[in-house]
Amino acid sequence: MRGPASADGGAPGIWLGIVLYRNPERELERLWESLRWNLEAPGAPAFRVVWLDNSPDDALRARVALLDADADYRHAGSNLGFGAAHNRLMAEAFGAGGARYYVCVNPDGLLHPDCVRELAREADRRADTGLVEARLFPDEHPKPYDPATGETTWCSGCVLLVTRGLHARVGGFDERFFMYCEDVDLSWRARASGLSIRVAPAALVHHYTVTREASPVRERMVRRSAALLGAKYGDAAFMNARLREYAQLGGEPFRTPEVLKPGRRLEGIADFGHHLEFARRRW
Amino acid sequence: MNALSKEAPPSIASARWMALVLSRARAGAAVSLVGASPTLAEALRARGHSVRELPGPEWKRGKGPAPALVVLEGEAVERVLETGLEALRRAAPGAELMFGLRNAGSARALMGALTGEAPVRAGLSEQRVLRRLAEAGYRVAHRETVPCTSEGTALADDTTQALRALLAQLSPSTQVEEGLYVAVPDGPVREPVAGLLSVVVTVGAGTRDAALDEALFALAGQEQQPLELLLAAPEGVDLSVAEAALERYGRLGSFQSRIVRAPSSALTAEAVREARGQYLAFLDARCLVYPRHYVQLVQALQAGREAWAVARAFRTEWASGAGTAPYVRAKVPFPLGERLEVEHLVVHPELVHAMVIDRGRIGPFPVVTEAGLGDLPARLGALFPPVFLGGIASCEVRGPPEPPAVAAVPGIWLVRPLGAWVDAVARIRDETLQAREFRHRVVDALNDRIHGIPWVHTTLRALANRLKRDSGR
Repeated sequence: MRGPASADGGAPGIWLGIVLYRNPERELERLWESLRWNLEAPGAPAFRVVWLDNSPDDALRARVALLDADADYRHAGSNLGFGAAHNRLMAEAFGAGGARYYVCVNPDGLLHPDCVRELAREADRRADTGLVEARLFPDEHPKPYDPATGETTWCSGCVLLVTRGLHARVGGFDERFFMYCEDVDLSWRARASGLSIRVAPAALVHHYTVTREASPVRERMVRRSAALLGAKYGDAAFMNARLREYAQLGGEPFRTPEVLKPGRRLEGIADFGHHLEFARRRW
Repeated sequence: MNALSKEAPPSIASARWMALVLSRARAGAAVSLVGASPTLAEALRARGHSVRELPGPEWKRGKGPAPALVVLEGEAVERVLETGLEALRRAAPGAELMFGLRNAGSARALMGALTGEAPVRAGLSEQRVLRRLAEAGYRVAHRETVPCTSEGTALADDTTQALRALLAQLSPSTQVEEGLYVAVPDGPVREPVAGLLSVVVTVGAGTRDAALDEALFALAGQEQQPLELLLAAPEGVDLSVAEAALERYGRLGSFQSRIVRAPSSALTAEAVREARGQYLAFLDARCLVYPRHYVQLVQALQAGREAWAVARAFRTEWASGAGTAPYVRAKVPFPLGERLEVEHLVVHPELVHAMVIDRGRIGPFPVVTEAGLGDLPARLGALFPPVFLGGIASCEVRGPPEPPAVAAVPGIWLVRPLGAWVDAVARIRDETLQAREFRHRVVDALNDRIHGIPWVHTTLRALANRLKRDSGR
């Protein structure tokens, strides 16, 4: 999927990377339909879609091909995790792909027709843009952002635009985070390097997880990643609290991460005062 | 509905009846007159109409052209309406139907029968007539009525008033004593589709396209199946953006949609009439529903016997932002608590956007009235205790912060078991006592701490006493 020709007639300057793991057929159909809306939207930028499948086998190849006969589908060979899989695609997008922007897209989201256009528009607005996140919908994330500038404390990885500038300056996700909290970490590093991270309020992604069935595996994964985040930013108390929760949830023991001293700039940005929200809530 | 003069009920107001019939008979039209009415026949003939008189009580097609107007008199009213409507609709598909009715279901008749002060009134109730007409493919195009008188019964006045009010709330037809009716052929009657949820989305002249698009986008992510959306807008309101959105989101296959157009005053009623679902819900562009909102409400109705279900919602406060997407400053859940109190139905009229009605369980209850939908939760809740989903809020009503609206509910009476009231009052009393007890404990704890600090307690007590004296002057 490429959409309207890019301005210079060459390859699209925006890559959408979708990392898969045993996704239901219906979920992929809905996502694909929403990507088509984005191509049809007035003023829509050209974009390229790349699928990287972390599943144990490549059974999803046929499903993706049913949606798009020309789909760029790759099987990772093993479960790389969220950040590492996106890093692989991001490196290609900003390397040989010559992309301006790379957009991480969660496969269980439904992109509003204006989502990609509004993300790109917001990113274009400032030269120092590092990250732009889509607004979660219909239940908006309660973390704060500046209503005038869109500046926020951290960006969710659900649908997240990464600029070439950010990739060059701070790299991609920290691959020690298998899943969860890697977006918070990338956001803090982006801010520490002087880049702007923002919400694009008109870029909506329908993604609702509040009533999602409770999963002990997911809860353990969140705690483990959060503990790593605490260690990385020098907050031993936060790390230990998350490790205790991880153990209470029946998590397998693992080597306690070393508590680092990230330096004053990063320490000033990191916010562990709001449990797993990493920012005060608006409500 | 026009009201007839109380002094001239239709059964004896032959002049008004005759005038009405003559006004509806088009020039040169064939009129079928069922039941003896020589005066009326003569008047019609005098105006050049071809009149076919049938003795009744049945209507028969006969030879010649199909009638354009069928007038029922005497026993023919009950016979044709009860057993002959379908045949009439088939044999004279374009014919209008006129009749007068003494309402066997009027509050006066029902109360008289209930108290034994009057025999059970024979004949059809207006509610039954309206139902039969709809079943056979007619709609009432004109109706003139004599309202029930509010004369007393053998019961105490307050009791009479309460019973009559409850009857009126359940069926406005009970307030009609007699009436004259003109029914015209209509589309085939549609039985509600079992399991289908119809969501009426009302659009006004001031609706922002972006807000409406978001409401539709949220509906596209709904998990309830099957789902029908009725986008209802007054004539003249531009729906091109919304129609494009419906077409686009409809490609997900999660709903079917239709546009309903009608004058503003009749818009919601028309949308409800066209809704095909067993289940019915109302939204507008301010609303967002979360994916399992309707699933949970419909499941709650299917699991119980309640007539409607309502969920907790968020009141989402927008800060004004010219030219930018509204910024959400706060989300406040409502109603609070694990129980839905009767008061909530009045102080939170926005609950109309957080509910689903099972139309099969509300009988003749009028979902839409001239007052709009603002009092619907209160009116509905007065007669039908709902099932309340008290968990996490599953929908939003968005807008700038406003003083809370309160539904105007004058004269609404409530049906509840006495035990429910006793429990509610006991609960409130317990909560008040607990709050008072908590306050005392906090004050005691504070007092203990202050006692531990030399001279502070004495100083504070002196200050408190002085303040008390000053305020007492």
